[in-house]
Amino acid sequence: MLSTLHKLKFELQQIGVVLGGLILLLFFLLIITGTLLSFFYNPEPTETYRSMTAIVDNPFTSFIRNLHFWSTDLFLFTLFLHMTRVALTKPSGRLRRYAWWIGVGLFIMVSTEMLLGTFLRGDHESLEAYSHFFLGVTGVVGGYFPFISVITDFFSGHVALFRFYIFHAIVIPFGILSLVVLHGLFAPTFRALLAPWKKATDAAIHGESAAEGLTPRPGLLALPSVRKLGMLFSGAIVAIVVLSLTLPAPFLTEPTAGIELTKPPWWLLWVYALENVWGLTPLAIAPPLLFGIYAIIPLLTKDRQGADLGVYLYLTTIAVLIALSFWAAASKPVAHTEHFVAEQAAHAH
Amino acid sequence: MWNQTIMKHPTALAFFLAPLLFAGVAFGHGGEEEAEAPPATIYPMTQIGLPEASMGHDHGTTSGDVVGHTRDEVAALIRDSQNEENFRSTVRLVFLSFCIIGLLFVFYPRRRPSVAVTGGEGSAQTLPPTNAAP
Repeated sequence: MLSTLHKLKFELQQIGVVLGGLILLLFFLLIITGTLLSFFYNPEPTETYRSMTAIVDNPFTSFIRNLHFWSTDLFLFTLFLHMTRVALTKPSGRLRRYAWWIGVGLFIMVSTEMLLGTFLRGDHESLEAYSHFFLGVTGVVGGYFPFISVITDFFSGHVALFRFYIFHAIVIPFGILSLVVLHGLFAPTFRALLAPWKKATDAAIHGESAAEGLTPRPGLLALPSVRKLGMLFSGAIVAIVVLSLTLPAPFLTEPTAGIELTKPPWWLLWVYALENVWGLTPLAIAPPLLFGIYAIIPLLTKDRQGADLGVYLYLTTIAVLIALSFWAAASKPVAHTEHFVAEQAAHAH
Repeated sequence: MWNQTIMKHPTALAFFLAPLLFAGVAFGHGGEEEAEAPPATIYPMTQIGLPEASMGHDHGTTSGDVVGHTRDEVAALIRDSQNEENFRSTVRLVFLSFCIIGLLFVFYPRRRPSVAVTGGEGSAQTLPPTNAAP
C-alpha cells in the first residue's frame, strides 16, 4: 500500500511538472477555436449580438464556441495549478526567478485577454463588464492619473469593440506566444526537454558523423515528460468535448444600458467581493496589488530546503483569493457601477 | 500515512481548509436575492461603446431614441442563467481548492534531516537543497 502511494505521488509529481506544457497546448486549441469563431463573429456593434445569436443557434458554431469557452476555463484552471506548483517548488536561483517574472507578465496578458473576451460577447453581461471596467478606470484611476483618458478614449465609442477584437485576436496572443518562448527558455523543465536536441545540434555544428550526432537520443516521444503531457492533453480534450456537449457557454439577453444585475466570471469574483465592501476602487487597486505580490515572491524565496516566506506568501494570497471568491459567489448581486455613478452625481450637486 | 502527512503539514492545510469552511458557512446562509433597485434614473456614463445597447427605463419613463427592457424584465431574462453560472463558479472553486490541496501534499517543500558522516570526519554534513521539479 505504501509503495503504491509512493508511486502515485511520483506520478503526480511528474504530471505536476508538465502543467506548463498543457497550458501551451490548450492555448493552441484556443487559437484554433477562436480562429474558427472569427469567421462568423461580427465586431460591428450594431451587428454583434445578431452574429452571436447566429453562432449560438447553429449546432456546429455553437459547439466551437463551447469548445472555446471550456478550453479557456481549463486553461485558467491549469494556470493556477501551474503557478502553485512552481511556487511550492520554490522559484529561487537566477534562471527560475526570471522564468517566474516572465510568468507574471504572461499572467497579466492572459488576464487582459480573458477580460477582452468577456467584452466581445456583445450580450448584457458584456456591456455590464465593459461599463464596470470603463467607469472603474476613468472614475477611480482617472482621478489620480488624468492621462489615462488617452487609453480609455481609444477604447470607447463606436470603434471600441473592433479595437478590443483586434487586441483579443491578434495583439495579445502574439504577445503571449512571444513571452512563452522566453519563459520556456528560462524554465528548467522545458530546457531539460530540449537537452537531447541541443546535443544533436551541437554535434552537427562540430561536424560529428550523421549516425552519431544528428539524431537526438532518446527521441522526443520516448521522453517520460512528453508522454505524460500527451496523456494529460488527451484527457483535457475529452473533458472539454464532454463539457462542450453537455454544458453550453453562457449567452444572455440583448444589452440594456444603465442596469447592473450580473456577477463577473469565477476568476474575477474575488474583485467583486472587495467591491461589495469598498465600491469600485478595488477594481483599480486589487489586480495590480496581486501582480505585485506575485512579483516579489521570488525575492522572498531562498535556495534551501523547506518552506520559506515566499511559499507562505503565495499560499496565503491564493487562499484569500479563493475565500473572497466563495464569498462573492454566495452574496447577492450589487449594482456597483450604478452606486458609483449616483455618488458622482451627488458630489457634483 | 495520511495521519502522518497531515501532522507534518498542519500550517499548509490550514491555509486551505479555512476557505472551504468559509464556503460552507456562506452557503449555509442561503442563495440569491435580486439586487436592490436604484433610483429611477438613467446613467449616461455607462452607455458607452455599444450603440446597440438600448436605454433601460423604469416605471414607463424612457429616455433616448430606443426603448429597452426594464430592470425587472432584464432580471427575469437572466435569472436562470445567472443562477447556473453561480453554481458552476462554486463548483470550479471547490475543485480548484481540492486540486491545490493535492498539490500541497505532492510538492510541499520539506526540510530533510541532516545526515551525520561517520568514520574519520567528525562534522555533520547537510544534504544539498533539492526541489521536486527537475
